[in-house]
Amino acid sequence: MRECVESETLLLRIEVVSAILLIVFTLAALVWFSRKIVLDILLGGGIVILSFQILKRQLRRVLQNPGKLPRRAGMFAGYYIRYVATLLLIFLVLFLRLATPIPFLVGLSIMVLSIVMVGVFEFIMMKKGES
Amino acid sequence: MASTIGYQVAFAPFIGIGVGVFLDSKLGTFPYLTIIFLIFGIVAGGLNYYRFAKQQQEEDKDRKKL
Repeated sequence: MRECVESETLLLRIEVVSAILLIVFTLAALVWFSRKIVLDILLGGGIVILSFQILKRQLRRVLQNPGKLPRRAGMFAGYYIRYVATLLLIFLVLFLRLATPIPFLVGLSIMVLSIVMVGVFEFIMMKKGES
Repeated sequence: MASTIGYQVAFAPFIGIGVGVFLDSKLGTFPYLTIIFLIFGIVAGGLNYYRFAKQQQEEDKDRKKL
């Protein structure tokens, strides 16, 4: 597949780090906490990973034809629908008490944590390259 | 440049939540400002998403010209 996004490697790194974090958190919860906590972390992690994959697919579709940007309204609609759907899903899980809030939030933070980690790593590598 | 905008897309809502929580804690208005700034953050994220796509398209075009 053509490399649509500036750096597919960067995206791949984020995905790998998020998968590692999810495994680490799940194993830690399995060792120190109950099976319910494990499921809550997996549920949170699953929701954000799914949302990230949808965003990635949307962006790929947008960048499929170079020099031809899709309609602005369509792009915004796609982005906001994904966002609202994710928020609604999180709200429903918490409202219906399907998950314990803290482990669920830990699962939800996996994507942000991996983006921060990859960002810091990139920054350090960039600084090293400059010096 | 484009990846910087990419990070802005990801972090805009969180920055909004951070500002909202900070103001709410100072003014005692929880959760109203948090919700308002979260919405601001999501909207800003959408605008950054559009900028990101545009920037990528331009970089793609420039790369093809070379």
